[in-house]
Amino acid sequence: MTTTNNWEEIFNRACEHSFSLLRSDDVLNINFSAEETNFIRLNKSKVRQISSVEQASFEMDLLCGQKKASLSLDLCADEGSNTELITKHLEELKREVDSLPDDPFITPLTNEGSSRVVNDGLLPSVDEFIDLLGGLMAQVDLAGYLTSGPSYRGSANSLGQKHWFSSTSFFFDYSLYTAKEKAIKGSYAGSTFNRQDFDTKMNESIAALSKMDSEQKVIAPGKYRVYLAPSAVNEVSGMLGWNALSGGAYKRGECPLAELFEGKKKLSEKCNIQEDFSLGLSPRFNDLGEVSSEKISLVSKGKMNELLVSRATEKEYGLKSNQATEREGPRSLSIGEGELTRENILKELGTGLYISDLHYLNWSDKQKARLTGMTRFGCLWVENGEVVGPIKDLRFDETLYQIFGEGLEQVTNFSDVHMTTGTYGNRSIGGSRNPGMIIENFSFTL
Amino acid sequence: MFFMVYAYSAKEGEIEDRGTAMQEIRDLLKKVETVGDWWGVREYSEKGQFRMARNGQNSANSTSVTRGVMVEVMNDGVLGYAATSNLTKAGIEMAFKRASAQARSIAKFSLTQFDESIRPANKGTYSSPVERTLSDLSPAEIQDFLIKTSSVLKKGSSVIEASAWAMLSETEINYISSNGSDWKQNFSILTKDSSVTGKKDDLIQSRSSGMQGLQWGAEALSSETQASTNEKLLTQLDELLCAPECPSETMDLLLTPDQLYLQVHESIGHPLELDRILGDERNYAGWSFVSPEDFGSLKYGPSILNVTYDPTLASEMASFAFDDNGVKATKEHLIKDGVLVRGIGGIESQKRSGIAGVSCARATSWNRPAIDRMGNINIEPGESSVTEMISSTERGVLMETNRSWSIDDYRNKFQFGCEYGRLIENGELKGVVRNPNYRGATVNFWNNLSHVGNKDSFEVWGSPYCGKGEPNQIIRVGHAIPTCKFKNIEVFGGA
Ligand SMILES: [Zn+2]
Repeated sequence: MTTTNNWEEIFNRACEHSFSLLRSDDVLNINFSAEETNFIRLNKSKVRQISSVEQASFEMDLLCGQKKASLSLDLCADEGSNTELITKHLEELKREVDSLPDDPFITPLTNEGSSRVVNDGLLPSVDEFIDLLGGLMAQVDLAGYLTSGPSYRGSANSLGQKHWFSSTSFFFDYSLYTAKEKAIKGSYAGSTFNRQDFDTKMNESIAALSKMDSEQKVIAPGKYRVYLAPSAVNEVSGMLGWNALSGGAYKRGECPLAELFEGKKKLSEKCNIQEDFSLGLSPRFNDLGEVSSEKISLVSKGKMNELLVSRATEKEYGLKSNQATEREGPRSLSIGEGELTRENILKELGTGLYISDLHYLNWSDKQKARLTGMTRFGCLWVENGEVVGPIKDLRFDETLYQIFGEGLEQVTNFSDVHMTTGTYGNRSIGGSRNPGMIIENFSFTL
Repeated sequence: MFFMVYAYSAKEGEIEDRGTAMQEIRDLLKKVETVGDWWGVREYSEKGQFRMARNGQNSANSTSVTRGVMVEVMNDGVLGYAATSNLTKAGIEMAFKRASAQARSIAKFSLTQFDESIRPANKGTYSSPVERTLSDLSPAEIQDFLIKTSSVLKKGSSVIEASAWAMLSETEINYISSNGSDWKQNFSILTKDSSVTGKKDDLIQSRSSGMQGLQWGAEALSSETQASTNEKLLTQLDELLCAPECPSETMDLLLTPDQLYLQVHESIGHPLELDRILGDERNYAGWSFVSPEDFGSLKYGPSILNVTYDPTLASEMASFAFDDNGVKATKEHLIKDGVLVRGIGGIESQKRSGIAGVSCARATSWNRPAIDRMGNINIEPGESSVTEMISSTERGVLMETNRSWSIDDYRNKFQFGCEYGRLIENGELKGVVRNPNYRGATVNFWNNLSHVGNKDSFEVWGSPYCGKGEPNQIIRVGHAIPTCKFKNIEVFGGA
């Protein structure tokens, strides 16, 4: 989709209008996101549903002393509609703020400066992409979706702070299937769509699928040696965003890695975890417009240095803020690489499970950092360094202290960047970088 | 007994004169230059509020107001969709053009070919059954309720964190199509939860009322009901902080509705979704162990198991008159006397698969097309009292309130964890156990069902957070369920 609207100008005008309506003691913080997106949903290498979405969300936090209330509205390309909508609802928001009791942990807004980042891209048109499908259909059974278009983030406050971030990008998130329902997962994402890269990716995926064709092996529950490919490590590291790195959750008794933070437990010396904005996946400003350090070392050589702490948590509990978001989850997580080379993975694994993907993870004992989940795409049984064949899905139940700790034997010398493909409500931004890992005594229970 | 407040008009007629959708959107559409062999416009608006208090203090107040339209255009049997929040004439015309162009561009590679019959013409209105409308509650009143709740909970001697939140939503959907659909539905939904976390030496435990969402109004925030909930939570938190780990062994399992609803959701609801069976969800939510041949023959459970799709139960989260394809919603058996008879699939999936389905094509908001979703998926009450289930148990555990859930992409191997457990020995309830979990495989588990609770234990639960679809969509689902008992289940405790 070609951009038809100047969202930066729409954002700027909406900000100016909102600020002009404030009373002398009001301070307004604004977070804006907009997108013009094409979604093409595929099944059996054909199009199941196609939709195009134009949307913009304008979220205002109104602060008046120790009182605060937030409101989000849908803006559009029509300025008259936006002005009317903001005027009406900002009046309601003022009345609401006045009626609420104090929130003792509100911190005053500040002017954290301004920034503007614009990442352009070159996207496939719907017709171009549809043409590519013609070639695929004959070869393989594919399910997945293509998401493409520009997306925007803005942050501003009535004290003069302003940040703008826009990026034009696409992702094609897909899986391929054998006749026996064995599957592998693939993705191709970026800001410039290149036909040759797309073909290479596809051919790699089709080659990987051929390994899934042999007889399925049923593995009995028990402890196994495993290789978690970067995409499987990505699922595990994704769970770190479920309170495991949150300073506030730690104080509320809800942090799975509390014992690590307190130094009662440690992870492997080979485990290094940092927030790394140099990956360029996510803006460095948070919902208050505060700009984080480019890198924050959270775990180094198995010891936890710090948790992610927001300004509100700093005020409530006295932990020092590192400009985290309100949720205190990582936005651009990076797990450190090791020495295992790609060629040596199967040899070093020896006999065990090669796991490309995990599914539906959840804490099974949050206080002990124990996780459960399932194997999914591209999981193979390996014997003496040779692939035997695909496995029947297995359930694991294991602690992070085993996965990233005692059991962690080797980490690959390469890693993959996983862009967030979430589209609940709107297109998420962010992602993480993960290496592969060989882990001993990994528990499977079902 | 509540009754649903909706009326159908059986006859088809002209949009302008006899319709029931909002006048505003009808007037606008009259001015718009429409395109396509067939079109439909779904206007969706919602005011949502999220309010929370922690430890007796105001903690969060946010409101979201959303409004937009999804324009569907069919050209040569292929649908294209375009969504916009620009509700001017120009904005809607642009959406029509985009939707029409999308339909044309995929003509060669469309998986499906339909005709107008996938959007039957209907008229009518639906409104949630409420005693007092949600807009009767001021932000300060809601916050006051939450502050009081969390303040009482924080007074518990071992409590380190107490919270209470409520999420309110008032939604209106107007649907108009070129073949004569013209209807309106208004939903009033409130979801709430309250919880305490306590610490004793190195042990931390949490107890909550369980997130519960219903179609109701301001009456949902009842101080009397909350007072007894608070008392229960504090007592049981103290019990948990002194309790041993749940034992690890194979034994009988009683599940109360606040856990069993998620078991039904994950291991009956999702695998019966026809779009999963057809493979649409393979890349994201997953496939299903159920195959098309299983309908009419698969013995999902014993004959006491009766599962229904019921959009007519008053107050349940997903009761409505029409789904988002405009199909009238009716109550149907999915599992009858233990046998799988019907899938959870809307009109499009029914045509694609030839399998009987239900009116369940739903969209999360104006910016997404409708797909197969659960609505209300219920277990019909049986014959057993809870007392009878306990007295017939030699060794077992009763588990309450979900806290952890996971299942594979075929909906086979699951594992659940609960907040609170009670041992049962020789027909009697015994001590409390902490960190109770169980695991199993779907068909085997449901065939181990030995008792279905009667009306006395039947409760209506619902969650606003079922996730699925590419692009992703969350949807509200309801599950009304009695307490049930299962034989020989693998039960275990914490790490
Ligand atoms: Zn769900």
